[in-house]
Amino acid sequence: MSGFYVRNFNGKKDLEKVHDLYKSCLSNYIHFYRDPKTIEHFTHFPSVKKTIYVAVSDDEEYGSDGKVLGFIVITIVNENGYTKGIVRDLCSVNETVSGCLIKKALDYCDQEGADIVAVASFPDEKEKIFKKSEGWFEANPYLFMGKVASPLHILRLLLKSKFELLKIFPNGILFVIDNESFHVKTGKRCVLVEVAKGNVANADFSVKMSNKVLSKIVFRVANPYIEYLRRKIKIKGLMSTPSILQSLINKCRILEILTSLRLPEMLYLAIIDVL
Amino acid sequence: MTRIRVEVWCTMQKRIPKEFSLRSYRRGEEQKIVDFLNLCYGTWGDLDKWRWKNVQYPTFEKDYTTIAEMNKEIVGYGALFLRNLHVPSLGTLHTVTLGDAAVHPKLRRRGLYTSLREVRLSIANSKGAALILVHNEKESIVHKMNKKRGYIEIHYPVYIKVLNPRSVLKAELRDIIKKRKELRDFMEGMNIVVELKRKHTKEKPINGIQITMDEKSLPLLAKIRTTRKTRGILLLFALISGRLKIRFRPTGLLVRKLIKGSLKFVRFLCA
Repeated sequence: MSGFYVRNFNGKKDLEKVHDLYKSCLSNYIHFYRDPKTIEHFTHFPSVKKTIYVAVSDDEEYGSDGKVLGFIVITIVNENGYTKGIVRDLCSVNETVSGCLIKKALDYCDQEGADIVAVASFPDEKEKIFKKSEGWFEANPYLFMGKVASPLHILRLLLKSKFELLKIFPNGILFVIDNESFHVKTGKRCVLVEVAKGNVANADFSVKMSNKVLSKIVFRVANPYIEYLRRKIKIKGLMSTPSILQSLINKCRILEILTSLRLPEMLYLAIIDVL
Repeated sequence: MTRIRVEVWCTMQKRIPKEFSLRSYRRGEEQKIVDFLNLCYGTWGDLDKWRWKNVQYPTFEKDYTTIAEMNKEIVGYGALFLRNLHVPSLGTLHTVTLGDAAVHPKLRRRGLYTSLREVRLSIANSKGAALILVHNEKESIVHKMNKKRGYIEIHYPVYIKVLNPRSVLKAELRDIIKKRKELRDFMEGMNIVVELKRKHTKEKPINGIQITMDEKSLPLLAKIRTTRKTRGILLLFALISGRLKIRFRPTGLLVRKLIKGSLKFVRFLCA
């Protein structure tokens, strides 16, 4: 990559390019979806003092306009008797661009008389940009909390790609979560998840757990193997199995399926996402 | 979909106390909502902020705001935000974030908050939300309640840099004093000087109370690094190790207040 420069955001002209930037940078992270409408909405954040910068490549192959390599939204607010500079949204292709945008944000905050600056950034960039020696410290008085609202939707999405693991159970698995039952079985090259009604004893195994345990697994707080040993997950064979060993192997396979219910670890959350 | 929503409102109406009624937001009452939120939160924000968060949000629908009414006055409010979460290599999860829940200070502990939460959860279900998210202050009552309700904590890093330590220190101390009645009473009518420790300066005589602090210890006061209990312990350590100094000149008023305070403490021990 050759050089880049930082300039003010140019409204609708830059919007598509910023959207492309998000698409390429956030593809490996769990993140709240950002379409051009949402990005435009973010740029209209209500604040008396606000500025938006873009880092633009000066590479000739992209013409005179250049490719957008970074995007930052900074607002100045007065709270609790002092002025806070808050980086609402930050996205960039690498830490060099991030570092440059943050430097620009610090200059802007200093110019506007901010007493404190707060930034949320990519999880893997933190040590390279926010150095303790430069006065940065990690601090957040808030946290996000999550819970599974619909086990049906979670099972459908997270088991979608587990066809190979599930096809060894021809009659499927019955998931009993709190008082609801879901029948997971394989169809023609796809995984089917349905709400189980009436006679549901035709599945190979039943897996019983609470919604709290399912939420813990989904958010990577609990390990399904340990939860099984703690009797928080109960796995029961509903059909007669040829041997104890076979039953044990099948239980291990089910625990492997449960492990795949965990969401990927990398989460990208900007301050603007916290509504 | 409309029919489902009407059913949600009707079912919820049966569960809440009779004097209250639940409904969604109506055009024209934005300012009333903002005034109500400012009454409940202290400082919540202005009309522009509410519009940006709700009406102008690309996925907004009228039913995403729930209002509790009593005698045609707003006594409860709650909002929800429907957003899609992109999960790499898997696809999209519909999520609902619950936010801005508020109940009139005089009408708390009557089950109104629970009703507001339940109606929003029912709407979330009717919208096919797979995950419910909430954003809470650490160690707050709502945070503790949500933990009990089975919500899982998701930490995200925020980095802070203090550009002007003096004003942050002053504002945070002012905030601490404002929030605690005992401190407010104690400090009334006294001259308090807040200073940041500087090297090679001779200590000048003071008139009143002087609080001197090491710049490195500033995050302790900025109420952003730790929970309240831990912060208390850290402040005590800072006091012992000399990073935080409190000097005072024993004026008549201060002595009187100290005697009063110690008598209260003795009375508390004897009770």
